[in-house]
Amino acid sequence: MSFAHPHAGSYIMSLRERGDVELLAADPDSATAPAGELRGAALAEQLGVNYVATYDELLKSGLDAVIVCSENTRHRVGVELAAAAGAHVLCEKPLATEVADAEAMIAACSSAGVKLMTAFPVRFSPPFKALQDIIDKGHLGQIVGATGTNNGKVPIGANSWFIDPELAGGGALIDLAVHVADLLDALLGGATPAKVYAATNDILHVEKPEVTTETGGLVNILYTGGVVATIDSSWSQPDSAPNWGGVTLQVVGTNGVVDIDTSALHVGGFDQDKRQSFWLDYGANTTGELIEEFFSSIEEDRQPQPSGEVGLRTLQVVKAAQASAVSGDSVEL
Amino acid sequence: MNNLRVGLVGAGSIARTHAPAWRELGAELFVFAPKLAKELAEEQGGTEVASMEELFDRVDVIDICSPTSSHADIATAALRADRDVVCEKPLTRTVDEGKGLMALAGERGRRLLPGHVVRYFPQYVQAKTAIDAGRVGKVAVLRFSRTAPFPSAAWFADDAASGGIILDQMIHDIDQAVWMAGPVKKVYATEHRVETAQRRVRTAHAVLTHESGAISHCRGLWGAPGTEFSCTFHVAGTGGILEHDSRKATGIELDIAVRSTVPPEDAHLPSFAMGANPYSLEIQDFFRTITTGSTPRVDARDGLRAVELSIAIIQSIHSGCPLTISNERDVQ
Repeated sequence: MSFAHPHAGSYIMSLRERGDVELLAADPDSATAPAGELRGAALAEQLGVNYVATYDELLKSGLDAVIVCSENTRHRVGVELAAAAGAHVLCEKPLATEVADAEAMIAACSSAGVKLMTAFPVRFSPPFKALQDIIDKGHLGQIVGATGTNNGKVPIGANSWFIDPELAGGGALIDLAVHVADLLDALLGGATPAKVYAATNDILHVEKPEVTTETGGLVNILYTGGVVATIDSSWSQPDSAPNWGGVTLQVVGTNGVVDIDTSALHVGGFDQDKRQSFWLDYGANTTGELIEEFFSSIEEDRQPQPSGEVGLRTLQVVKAAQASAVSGDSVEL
Repeated sequence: MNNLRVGLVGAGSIARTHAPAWRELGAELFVFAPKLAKELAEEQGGTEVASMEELFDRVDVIDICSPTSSHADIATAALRADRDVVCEKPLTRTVDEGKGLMALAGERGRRLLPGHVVRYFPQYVQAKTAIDAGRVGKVAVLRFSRTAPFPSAAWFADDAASGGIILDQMIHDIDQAVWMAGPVKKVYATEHRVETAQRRVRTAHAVLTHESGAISHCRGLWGAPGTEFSCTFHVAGTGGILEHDSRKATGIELDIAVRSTVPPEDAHLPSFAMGANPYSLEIQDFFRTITTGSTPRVDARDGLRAVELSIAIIQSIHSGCPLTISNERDVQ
């Protein structure tokens, strides 16, 4: 549902590679998308996917599952429609832009007896899985603290909704912090955020008049049980950097420290003609694994991970961070 | 002109970095300490003295390398005796002590120089120089980390004596944040201490808001035994980024087979095999200031500011609330 998120293309590619999936797409919001952005039937043709004009037609076609790739504030409407039609749902992150929306989405899927998964691809990256394994085996001891970074390029360009707070639900915080909050949620086994403090600014990209939200953010989280963490959630990757950005996470335990860098698996290059460096990724296909988890959870009739509840918890962190940045105070959850 | 006569108070690991630096400059060295003074004096071609009074009598400069809680008293006595003072960080344990020292130094017309040696680490100097030259535009988001094993001497773990990880370790990066991004107007911090039968680990996170609008993160860690010392920074500005990770910029990597035959280093202090010794550069700068009146790279006001911010951060940890800093006019 929807081509607003560029990941729609990756999902389509991954699903096609499986060979066991019939695909259908609809992108009615393309009608109101800014001129010049490739959406709707035109994009469907480029992606080579069957297309219908409305969600109604999409959902009446007899679907097992839906992937919601709309603008953040439109996730709820798509998920509720899908649930009502009895389709399992994989929803792009953040799950929603307001806690009440996320709660409603979880309730709708639960009543309809369908699965709800939040799309956090970093969870499926090999470095993170290795980190999780080390922690599960006790090699790090008791977790004491963590520092996570998600520094990306400012997402202007092909999908301008990312920087429109009406459609994105905020700025750098909601775009970036949830990925790290999800990794911490997965690692801290039940500990939940108790207090959040965020400081933000809008110094980066001040020369771009279309960017009106915060562009830099530091989010400190105090978890139940005492673990402390800070997330750098900033659009601080330079526009001409060789890669979009990536997630790093350092976890401190009583036995030592482990660092992961999800963008480390690349060959570095320098293009003399273009006068810039470039990166060639060779890491695993996390989209494929994410979809595999979604499908397995349906087949095995279990909660997908990350679930809708994880989507809600990570959104709560971001909403608290947004509130803290505005009030200047720490926020208790 | 006579050689500068320097009186070291203390003979522990930090004193051992200062002593050779003074000697390289041709200074005469005198050492007073409850332990190891004789060994240090012999090693460095200096003279052990039996009391603080004797030390003051025989030197021009007092260099304080004793535990934190003694800094203010010793510096006060030294300034009253009209000696210039070099003092290891933190300048003092409390803000009032720091203000008192600055006032006294001003009255007596004496130098008071805080040992914020990270301002002499070449990687930090490069970053600061690049920022000042506009290489990364206006700085927006800064991150600093510092990692060491939990210090073994008992006074470090005693908050009353040391000010804990904030005043002892994070203070370096607090000073760096101010140096690179300007005065701080607000702080918020959290800390986690875990103590098991075998392990003590402390980690602290501070989020600073600068008057310029820039935001900084400082992360300290006193970690598990065997933790190697490391420090990192990442600065993002409107014109680009700067980053450094001491773990990656080693210049040499040892295969584990070789590592096992290498004796463990003093993991509190970084290895300087790769370049000019920052402690030497620091002492050289202080020597120049004392003997020629040049402006030092770091002064008493910087030292006091670092203490003020550290204390505010400690207060924030205890209260669970952010704290606004008032940047009053400096005491002259």
